[in-house]
Amino acid sequence: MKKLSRILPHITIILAGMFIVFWILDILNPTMNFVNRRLSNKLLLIFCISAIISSVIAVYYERKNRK
Amino acid sequence: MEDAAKKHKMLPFWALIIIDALGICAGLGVYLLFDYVMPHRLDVKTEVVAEVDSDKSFELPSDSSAAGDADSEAEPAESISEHDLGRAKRPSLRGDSEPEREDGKRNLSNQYTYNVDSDEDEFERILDASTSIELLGHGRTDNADVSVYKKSVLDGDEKITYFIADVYVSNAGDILTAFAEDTYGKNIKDTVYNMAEENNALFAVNGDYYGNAENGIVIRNGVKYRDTINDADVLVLYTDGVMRAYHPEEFDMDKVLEQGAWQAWNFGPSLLDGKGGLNPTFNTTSYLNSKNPRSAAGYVEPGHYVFTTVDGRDRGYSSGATLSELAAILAKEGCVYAYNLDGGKSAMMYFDGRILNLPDGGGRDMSDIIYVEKQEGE
Repeated sequence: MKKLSRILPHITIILAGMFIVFWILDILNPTMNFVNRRLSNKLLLIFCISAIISSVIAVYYERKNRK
Repeated sequence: MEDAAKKHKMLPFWALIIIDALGICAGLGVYLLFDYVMPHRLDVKTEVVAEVDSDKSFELPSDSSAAGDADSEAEPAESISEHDLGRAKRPSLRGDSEPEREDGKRNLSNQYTYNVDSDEDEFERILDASTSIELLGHGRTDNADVSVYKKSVLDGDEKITYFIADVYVSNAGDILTAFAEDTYGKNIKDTVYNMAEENNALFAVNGDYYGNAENGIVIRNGVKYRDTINDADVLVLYTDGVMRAYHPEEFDMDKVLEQGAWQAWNFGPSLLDGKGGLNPTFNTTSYLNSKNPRSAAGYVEPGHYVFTTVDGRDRGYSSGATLSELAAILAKEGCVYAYNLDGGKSAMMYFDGRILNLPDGGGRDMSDIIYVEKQEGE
């Protein structure tokens, strides 16, 4: 659990960074359509799952520390 | 105790930021390797949607009116400087010979399309500029007549050098396309030169690089490979020789197939309004509207097409063309419709065994070409 809570935020940061790059590239050249590619859709799912889990862990520890 | 302390010693915050930044770069690298470099053969359900309409044949220009002699050999350089050549060549619309089709309406923008205003001043400036013309070659077969020219407009840093292929065919079926390695797929690439040689081409120009996108209409030589529409304009060559450019919102696949689509490309934008005038807006982004090497296809009348490749990124020789300038180049040749194909390093024109232009960075491999075949046995 501890390892997961350490790794997940970095996975979230890396995927978020990648999607920001895709978004900028798509604005410059929409034909490339990076955000909507099949592989991007899979990455988006991983990004969402990782963001949800790391947020849940963060909320859990925050509440625990408050107690 | 010290060991435990070392174990729990955390990396400084700046080191974490650097590691995450490197992680982003590595992620992008792996993504591009899988999605942009590695070739994937696509097993799609293809469908024959059109066959060559052998009843519809167009007259080729007589040999005497063609530029140069009947061999496919390059003519000696001939320079002509003609003012206002373009205006003299503006189209004589053979409206009676063309079936009625809905003309392209513009300004159909919504949040999914990218409209950029065209530049009337740039368009007029190219139309009014004197053109230096050099005949590079002429080739004739039983079914096609192709003349290629090197032309330039403007001077100094603004000079634009471009290559024109004036193509007459006796049937729309003589405008052919080919895939790299004769295979439909993603990231399957080859040079324009190799594809032209493998397909016994007299003349060839780069296509729309369909293999770089997952969506978009792909109909080649009467076979439908992909029918998912994207945000880009579509160019259709029908079996009766008519060529039409469509905005994605007005494109109706069923109607187009019903009318006999022989070829369809999905890149764009469409440049001319169907009457040889500049489109008021282009379905693209301002970033893609900058001066660049470009290739484009133009339509004069059934059986008569003009292809151009503009060199660029080399000031003094050729600065490249904006989309309005590209539209003017094709309007000057008498085109009523014109359509931007893949450009940049992809912009390449082949004629009779050689690449005519000077591609930026030596060019790049790509997925498809448009070509006219040499006579069998040539």
